[in-house]
Amino acid sequence: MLRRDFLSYVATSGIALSFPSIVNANQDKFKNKTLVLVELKGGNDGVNTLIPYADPLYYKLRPKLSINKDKVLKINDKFGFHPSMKGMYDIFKDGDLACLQGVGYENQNRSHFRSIEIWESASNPNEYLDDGWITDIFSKNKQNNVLDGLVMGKNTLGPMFGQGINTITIDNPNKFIKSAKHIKKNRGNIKTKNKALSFLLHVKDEIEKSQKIFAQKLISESSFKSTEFTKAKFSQSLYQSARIIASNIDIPVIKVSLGSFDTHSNQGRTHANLLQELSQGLLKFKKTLQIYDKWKDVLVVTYSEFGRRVYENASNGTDHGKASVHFALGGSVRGGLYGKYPSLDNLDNGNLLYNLDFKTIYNTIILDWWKMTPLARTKNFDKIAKLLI
Amino acid sequence: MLKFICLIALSLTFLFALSVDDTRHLMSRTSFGIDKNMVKILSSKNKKDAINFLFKINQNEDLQPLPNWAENSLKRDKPFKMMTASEKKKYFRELRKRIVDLKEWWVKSMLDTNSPMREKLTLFWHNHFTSSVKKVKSPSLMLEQNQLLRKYSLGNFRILLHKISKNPAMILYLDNQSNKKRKPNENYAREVMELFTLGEGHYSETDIKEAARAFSGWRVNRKKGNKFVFVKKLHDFGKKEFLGETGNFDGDDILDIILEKKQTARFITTKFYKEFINDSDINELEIDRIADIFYNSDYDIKTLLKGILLSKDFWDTKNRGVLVKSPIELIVGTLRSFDIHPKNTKGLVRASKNLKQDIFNPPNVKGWDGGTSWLDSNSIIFRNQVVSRFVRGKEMGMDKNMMMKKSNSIFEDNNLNRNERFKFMQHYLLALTPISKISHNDKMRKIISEFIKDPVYQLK
Repeated sequence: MLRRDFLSYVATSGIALSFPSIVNANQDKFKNKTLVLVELKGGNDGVNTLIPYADPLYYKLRPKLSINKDKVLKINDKFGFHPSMKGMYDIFKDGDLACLQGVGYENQNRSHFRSIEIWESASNPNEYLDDGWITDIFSKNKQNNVLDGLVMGKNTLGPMFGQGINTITIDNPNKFIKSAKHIKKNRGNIKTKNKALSFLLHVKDEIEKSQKIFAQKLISESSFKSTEFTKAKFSQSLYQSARIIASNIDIPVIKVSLGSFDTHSNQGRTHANLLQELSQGLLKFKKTLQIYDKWKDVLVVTYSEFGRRVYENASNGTDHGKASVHFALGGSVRGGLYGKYPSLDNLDNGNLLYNLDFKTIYNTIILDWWKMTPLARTKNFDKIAKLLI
Repeated sequence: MLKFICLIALSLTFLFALSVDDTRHLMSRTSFGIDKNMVKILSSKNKKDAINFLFKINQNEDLQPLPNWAENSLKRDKPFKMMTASEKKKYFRELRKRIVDLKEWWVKSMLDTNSPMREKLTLFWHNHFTSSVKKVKSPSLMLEQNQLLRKYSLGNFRILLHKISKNPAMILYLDNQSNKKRKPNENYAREVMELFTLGEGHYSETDIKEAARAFSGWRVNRKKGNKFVFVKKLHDFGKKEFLGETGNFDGDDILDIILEKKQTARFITTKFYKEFINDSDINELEIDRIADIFYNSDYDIKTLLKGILLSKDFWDTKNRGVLVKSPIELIVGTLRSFDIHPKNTKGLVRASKNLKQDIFNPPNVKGWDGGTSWLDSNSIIFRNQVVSRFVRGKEMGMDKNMMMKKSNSIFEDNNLNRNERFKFMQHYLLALTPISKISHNDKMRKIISEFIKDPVYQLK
């Protein structure tokens, strides 16, 4: 059974960008808009994120892990956020945060690797596709931009894996500008059947092109007006992402990651710390983007390979589950609750039942954020009506 | 008739002695870089003899002296809750120091060993039967696991599988410590089938549940030396149905049933094919053929590896230079190729970590994906910096210009003319023709520098 591999990029695409491209109906759809994908690595426990504090079953099934009713940041008479999520709670009160309840898919796989592949490629559970859903979009809609996607930090390409997309992975833009200068430029157009070599040369090409753009346009840190971000990796990823957006370096998709949410044991403190970092990072992100009047042009969406089981296990943790809550936030998001909170007494072998297929989220992004023609792999699904203004 | 001639021609090539290019290819795939002595030694051997020779010299382990804490877990005389802040600080400082010691010890061993193939296989198994010191939190248990992997690295996979399933670090890593009759934990059962033996699609969720029951009670005795212990009262002795068979299985029975399936041999053989021959262009028929041999040898790893190395696919030019060197291969391989042995490997460990290969700490249970996943804009920039630093020397524990100083000894035949030296060095270092234009008339130090900085140097 073939797992997808990183196929080579045939050298022509990079060269094509230097010629005026054929007018593409979807080209300008990406302009001045940024999709920020936040990967919650390891499978986030939705039940302790958006907490059904009014349901006695919650306390019965989680005698040790349940959060005290009084500590929950209540958003209505049934649900509330984990106490560590003050930042996201504030964004919710501003009307900019949507809770997407019960997100999953049919026959959800509970293996980390397989399930994240399914999310990243928007495949069916028994399909193995060669590229991510974002790659599919950009390989079919060539843009004039040098970069289609950016991965912040030492993380995988995720939904941007595969052929036909221009991406870059950077840790720190300042370091990148400096050190990328030393990469020798590729001479000419080298055609080779060697996939590894081809891939290597393609990435070198992207480095060279991106270095030029970043050097030209990136606002210096001293002149960048931002609210204070913590030094934690995730917050710094958001800080740098805000800086790149504010510099008008047009990159349609940015991916950041936070983890590990794979809390099989001693979930309490670990989960609280992660949610705290997630929340206050996003709040600072919003505030900084508002300073540059970019908040309405940014859409942040979380995703994770699966949720976790309702019953706590014997090690004060939870095991791999199925459906979970996810979040969409941004200046163009209509805040509130979407979908339905999965019932705690109608479980699928201990796992939460989904009601929102994750592909409906992708469809909403494609149809309502980018206002594009539907993607083959998601077009048979609905979208979340009215999520975006 | 043509097929017959080709067959003869192909088998004849096995009779011819190894060229510099063939030696580099064989060594860089089975070891770290190329050992300059091997060029001379293998130049008189044909492929089959060369391979047998390598197995012969790699029979023993050749390691650096173990760290002084090797036998003893870091002890606490009281539980964490009762420690003062400064006691906790002291404990964690010592723990971190041991973790650093551990990594530096292994890299130094890889650098200096006379059994590099065994070390390469140990690294391969570390990436297969993964555990990470970050989760296990015990350098001495990780070291014990590393020793186990090394012992059976070129031994028997059946024995290795049984032993790794009872290995304390593995039990802690995949949560079998929490696997009890009343509340089974499926993690080990899932991963042993998905990642270590059969591969996905060859078992059901029910098989996982049943296997988890069989592994229940296999624990680590935290109070008595962190040794494996079978706790009967936590074990589910009941009847189980697993992969079509029924019985009161325990963990060993489960493993034997898994090994009985040819798919296990196939899965491992496929991994070897991707590791040693080509990771994107797979020859299923050849894998089938070698997997049969592996299965029929009752999982003898040497037999498997020999099958791979004697395969025509291994020597085929279309499979040369198609694999990306892992960070360890790039770093350790470059130094070994120039016979450079820094005393201190701290900088090397750090460089490998920055290139995404933090040994003893694979990112997750699937291990490092390898191949082109080693390459992104970050890592390509950093790889460039690492090789530049090697050329300059004076960092990472080397003397200034050490590489250049050592390069002379690579030419054992000093009667080569300029063009011959160029060609020799090219085949010594590179699997493919360099991309950049390098002049034969440059000084050798410049030529070497250009070769190493060329994109093709990243491939093997």
